[in-house]
Amino acid sequence: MGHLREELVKKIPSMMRKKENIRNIGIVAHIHHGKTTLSDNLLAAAGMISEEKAGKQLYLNYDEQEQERKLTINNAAVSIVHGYEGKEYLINLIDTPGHVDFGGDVTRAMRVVDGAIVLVCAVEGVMAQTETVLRQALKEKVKPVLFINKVDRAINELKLTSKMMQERFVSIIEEVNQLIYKMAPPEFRNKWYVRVEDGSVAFGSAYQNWAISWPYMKKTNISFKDIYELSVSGNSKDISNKAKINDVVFDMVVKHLPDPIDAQKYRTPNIWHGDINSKIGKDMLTTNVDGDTAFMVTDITIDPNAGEIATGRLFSGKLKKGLELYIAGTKIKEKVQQVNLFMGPERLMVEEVTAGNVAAIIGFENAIVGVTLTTNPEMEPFEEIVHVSEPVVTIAIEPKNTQDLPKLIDTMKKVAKEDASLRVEINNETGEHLLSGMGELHLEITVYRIINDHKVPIEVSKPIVVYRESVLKEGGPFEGKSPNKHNRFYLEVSPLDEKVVKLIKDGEIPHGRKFKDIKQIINKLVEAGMERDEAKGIQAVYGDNMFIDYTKGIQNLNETMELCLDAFDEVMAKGPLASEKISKVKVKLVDAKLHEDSIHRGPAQVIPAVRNSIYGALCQGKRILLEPLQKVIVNTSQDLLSSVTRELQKRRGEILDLSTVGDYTTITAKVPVAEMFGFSDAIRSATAGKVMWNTENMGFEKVPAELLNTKVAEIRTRKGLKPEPYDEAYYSS
Amino acid sequence: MTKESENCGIFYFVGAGLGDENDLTIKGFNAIKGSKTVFMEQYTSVSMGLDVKKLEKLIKNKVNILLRKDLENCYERIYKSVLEGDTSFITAGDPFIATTHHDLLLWLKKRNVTVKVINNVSIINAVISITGLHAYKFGKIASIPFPYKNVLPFSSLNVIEDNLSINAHTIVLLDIDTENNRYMKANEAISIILEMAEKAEKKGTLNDKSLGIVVCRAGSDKLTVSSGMLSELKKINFGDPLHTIIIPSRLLHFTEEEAISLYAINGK
Ligand SMILES: Nc1nc2c(ncn2[C@@H]2O[C@H](COP(=O)(O)OP(=O)(O)OP(=O)(O)O)[C@@H](O)[C@H]2O)c(=O)[nH]1
Ligand SMILES: [Mg+2]
Repeated sequence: MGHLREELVKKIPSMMRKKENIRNIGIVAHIHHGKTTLSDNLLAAAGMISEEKAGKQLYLNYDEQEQERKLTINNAAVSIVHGYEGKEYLINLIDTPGHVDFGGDVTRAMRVVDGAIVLVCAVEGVMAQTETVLRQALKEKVKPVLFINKVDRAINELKLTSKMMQERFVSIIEEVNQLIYKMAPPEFRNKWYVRVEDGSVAFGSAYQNWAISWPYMKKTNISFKDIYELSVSGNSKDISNKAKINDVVFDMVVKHLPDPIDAQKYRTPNIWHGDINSKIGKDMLTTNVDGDTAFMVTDITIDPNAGEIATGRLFSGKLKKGLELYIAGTKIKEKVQQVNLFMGPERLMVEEVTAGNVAAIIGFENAIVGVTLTTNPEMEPFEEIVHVSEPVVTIAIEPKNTQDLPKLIDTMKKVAKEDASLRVEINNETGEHLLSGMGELHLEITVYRIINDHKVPIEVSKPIVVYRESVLKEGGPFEGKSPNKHNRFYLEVSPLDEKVVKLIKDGEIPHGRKFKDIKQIINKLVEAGMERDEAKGIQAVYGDNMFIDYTKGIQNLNETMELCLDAFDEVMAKGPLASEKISKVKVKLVDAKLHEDSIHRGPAQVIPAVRNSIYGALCQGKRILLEPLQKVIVNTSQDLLSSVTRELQKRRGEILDLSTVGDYTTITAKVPVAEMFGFSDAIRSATAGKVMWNTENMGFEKVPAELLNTKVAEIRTRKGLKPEPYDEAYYSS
Repeated sequence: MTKESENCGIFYFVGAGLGDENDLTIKGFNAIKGSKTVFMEQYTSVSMGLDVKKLEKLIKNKVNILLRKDLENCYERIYKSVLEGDTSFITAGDPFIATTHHDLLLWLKKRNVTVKVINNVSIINAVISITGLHAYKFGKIASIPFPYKNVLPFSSLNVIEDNLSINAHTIVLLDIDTENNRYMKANEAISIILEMAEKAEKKGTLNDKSLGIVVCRAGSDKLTVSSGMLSELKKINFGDPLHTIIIPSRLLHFTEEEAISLYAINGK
């Protein structure tokens, strides 16, 4: 790697201060649409890596597992310098993963960037994951531009004529614009369309290393036909010289995506809910380099030598060695040991980083993903980064040698810190160590890393699916008695309205108790269709469940409310069927009879009474089990169609859609995650590895009635519970 | 009637009083001695001086301890033993004063079991007679639970304030956490009361200058009684459990005044 790179690296520190000339961008797309290939070629064209390394070897998929599995697992950040109309621009670029298991990385990357290159494969077109990543971008007010990739395949494999090709482009662009219209924040709905004419759309082949756009064609006098013919001829050197990929893509980025000053004006209020007129608020609105430091951590890696590396976006102030930063909302403070920029696998030490850039700091031991680091101890933290999907698959891990146990626990904590999508549960009592992830692949990779990178030999259980419990219809009021029989509680349960669930999912209604802005919450609930009297009773939100106090004027109830809510939390964390989490249930306290004396209505009395009442009401409302589902999309040739269908149907799969383009058929099916284990190997052997497939998470759905009892018994037995759940009578004593 | 129920015995609720096995009434002792099965609720044994081993020797029978939290699951077991003969159930103090066994009583009566209650002294009448305050002047009873997640038991303060407003004395019972073997101490309780008095939305008349009486270990040889300002009592470690507090009315009869001054911690 040459001379050029070093020169560029030298420039970066001074460029960081020219905020108008910075672009923080991400590349997002459906799996395998070519994000990493494009990023690599952009790096190579800008002289940051050698041409041979780019594209084929995938420099940005530097992790061993990424190379091995030929997909991106982690976000990779690089800084590139690009000249446009006589000025130099610093482009901080993040390559994100496309596999759903790593969707959390995309969500986190969208907090860091102001713009996104949405990549769509010309052959496959807009896919479900395209919609998902676009939604994630727009939610964070990240502006999109469009790159239609793999045009070479459309030409050479689909054999589309130049005209058919253009029609295809038009339809992809239209589809993307419809999504933008549907999901963009209202103020940008009509402004963020992508258009061929203004150059916010580009086409090309990351693989053949070329791209064109309308403005570029006009500037260079190359026609689409020229390109078409060159692509058919397969003369890749020629074509990449004629239609320079970095010029086309980065010109588009510089011209259409905002600089940090512009973006922080509207992004700050979106991701930070403190007082916008306060000093720190204004510092961020204006990307003030001399203001208080506000840095949001979106990624942590633990380097064996350097320790914790916290990557994120600096919204105001500076990062400098020795600077003392607080974790906002806590009293913890630590000193920055080193400031770095990322160059793919390498880190580059810099003197300081200024507001508006993406950077990493070393040595902040207490930082975790999502925290705000600041010089202002009073600063309100940034909004949480909420990733919509939750872990659905769990495995139990044991060390092969018992003496490795402490090391295993330590390692599990480390991997969980590095990967915010992972959940680790260490139970010292049962000795069971659980690892929950977004999918089978996610866990496979984590296990690989524990064994090979952290060198802890482990034994792994078969993957287990995470279930949810809910209720079919209204149940209760059910009388729950305290052990001393002197207190009685009457609660009702019912399925929580989808609109209200959405408010919770979108963060419109916060989790927890003692809500700050109760009036606003009540209004939102009423708007979503809840009766006002009921909305007024909101006491707590746990998961996507809600507790409502619907009683009036019961003496001393206020003193027992915390206890009622503790019981509610307990039940929502452990459903009556299988001790799985409860989902989408409304719990309503409708009456209570309390003992006069406060000791006689203490925790040991009230908690069991309320717990039994909710459990009993759930029995009456008919308990149901929910299982996670996946959308499975398989691309296959006609001859393998029946093998694929058979493989899907064996797994309780329901075919949702079949569509054919040229020789390819795309099958879309809905399959329970529980049945998907081993699909990868099965489909490979059934089709001699000739089909491409991927999955999307589809949330939870009811386990079919005929399977309910066996499933419940299976889960209960696994958890060491007696096979049948308790019945209504049990909860009424 | 089934054959079983021909042997059906009598169920005795036996109050154990406050001290050791010698505080059982003769009637109570005879009931226990004559019973085929003897139960005792667990927390009585810890909260007073009754020695189970000694009692077992005296009655030549086993005493079955029922955990308080399991009591509800024992109904069937209790019923079964009554069907086989007389059964006694020993409770702290007086069976139905500070404890809550009424549900068991009703449950048994519904099954046509003959239930007899053998009363004994309870903490309520013990503290009254120990302090010399007039029984006629007591109001509602208050209690102070262990604070749970910073929720203060304002209803208990309200009881004290209400009583003060009608010139009545208040007995304040303190929490017992048998599971964790914790007993609330008088000074802890006074701190909680004063904290509430300070934070109360509707200000009452109670403050740290108010008078209080602390009765410790009522019914045992180590009984102590102390009176003084709450601010002073708050600083004292009163030693072993159980502790009970009285907040006297502001209007005291002269005999009450004399009695209280006997126990004044500062000699007045
Ligand atoms: N023919 C052709 N193949 C391409 C093009 N771009 C990428 N590919 C191929 O598509 C496959 C996936 O490319 P990647 O760059 O790894 O795709 P990605 O979007 O980064 O994949 P994930 O990160 O796993 O989502 C590789 O085999 C690439 O060589 C293209 O423009 N034309
Ligand atoms: Mg990739």
